[in-house]
Amino acid sequence: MGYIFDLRGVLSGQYFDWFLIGLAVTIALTCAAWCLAMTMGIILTLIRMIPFRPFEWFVALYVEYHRNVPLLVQIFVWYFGVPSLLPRPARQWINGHHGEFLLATIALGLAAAAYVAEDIRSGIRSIPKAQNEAARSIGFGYLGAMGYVVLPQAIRIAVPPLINQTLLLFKNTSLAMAIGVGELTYRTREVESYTFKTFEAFAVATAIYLAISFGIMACGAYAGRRLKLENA
Amino acid sequence: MIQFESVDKWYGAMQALAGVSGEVRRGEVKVLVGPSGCGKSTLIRTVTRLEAIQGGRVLVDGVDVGARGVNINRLRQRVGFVFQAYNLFPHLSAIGNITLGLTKLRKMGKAEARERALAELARVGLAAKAEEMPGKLSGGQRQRVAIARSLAMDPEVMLFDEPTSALDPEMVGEVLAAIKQLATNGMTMICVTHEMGFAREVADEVWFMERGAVVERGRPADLINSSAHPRLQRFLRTLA
Repeated sequence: MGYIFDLRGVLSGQYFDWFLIGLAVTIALTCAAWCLAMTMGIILTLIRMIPFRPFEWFVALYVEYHRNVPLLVQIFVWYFGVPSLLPRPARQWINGHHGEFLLATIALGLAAAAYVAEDIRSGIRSIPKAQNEAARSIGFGYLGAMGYVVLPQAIRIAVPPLINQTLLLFKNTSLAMAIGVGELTYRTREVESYTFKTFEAFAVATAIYLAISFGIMACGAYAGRRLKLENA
Repeated sequence: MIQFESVDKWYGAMQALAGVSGEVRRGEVKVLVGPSGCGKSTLIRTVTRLEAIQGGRVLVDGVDVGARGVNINRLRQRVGFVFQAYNLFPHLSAIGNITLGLTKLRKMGKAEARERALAELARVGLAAKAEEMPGKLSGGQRQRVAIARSLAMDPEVMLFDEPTSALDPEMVGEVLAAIKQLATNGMTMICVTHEMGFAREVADEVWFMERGAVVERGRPADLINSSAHPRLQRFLRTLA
């Protein structure tokens, strides 16, 4: 016993800066992977809507791989596996340009894209067929009915689950420490090993993760209320 | 205006329409009645190819609706369709429901589209509700907005698929009044309904359908009061 909880040690001087740098990298990683996830998720949704079986199979395979293989393994595949398949100049380029950040972004973004594609698809599925029929009856073609009537409603329905995916993505960025990305968890380990204030260091990290997670959840709750549509 | 030429429609092994023929001339009002499942909704849905047919032809203004190369989207702009369940777009206000087609399909300017939409809303007595979201409107109001949405596209024909069946009784009158007014102004229309009082007032002809076929047709007064049509009389008694 006799342990004295004291945050001053881990929050002073350079250690405070390490937390800030870690947080900045975590946020950058979240944002970059998020953009990739949304883009790829929408592309997957569009591919799946093309009535050609092999495309559907491709998307199904994509989704199943990313949902069923542990995320850490996916990150290792990208960090250790993929570069070894590339030609030497490409490998050198990656190593010279924060390869670990780049490859972590790809791994996290592509994995989240599988979930994003599922959320958008279930949003589209939840719009009654009659809505499409009504739009077609006014004279809209397939794309017009989709773009002006079905998708605007589907996106409203998909926003709350998509915000949930954002939250998961944010938390999953901590796995990137395993390949040496200097994000918040990685920096916390550093602070801990320099100060030996294990509990304090992780208390600070926990508080930061919690604060941002609550922020994202609050956005989700607000969006859910704002975007809710009454049936018509 | 609309011709059905021995139209056949199958759902798998079930025949929904069995050789239906008939004609709707410009300015005429036809009312389709019959027990549920008799094919009356299916028949009017074939007019804008919401249902594909397997035999016969449906012609609108002499054009075969099912023919290859027909611009079905253009044709649908000329044929208004009002659904039993209104099918308003819940993410758009009442006026937004109406201006969507005007601005995106008719390429009207925003101000002009709004003006036109307001005129249509005023016609069905809802100018004051223009900015309301559909979820805040009553069933009768929603259906009147749906009618205004169709009318804004300047259709030459209006098709009504049981427009009052989903409404509470006290709202049936306001919707029927809007349809009656259209009929009085000479709109060509086919209306599927169980409202026999309405049929008597506005229909030029009533078609009574059973098992996918039109089994009786005639002026409403003749059909409704006559004892010569036992199957129709039996059906009408079930409505009363």
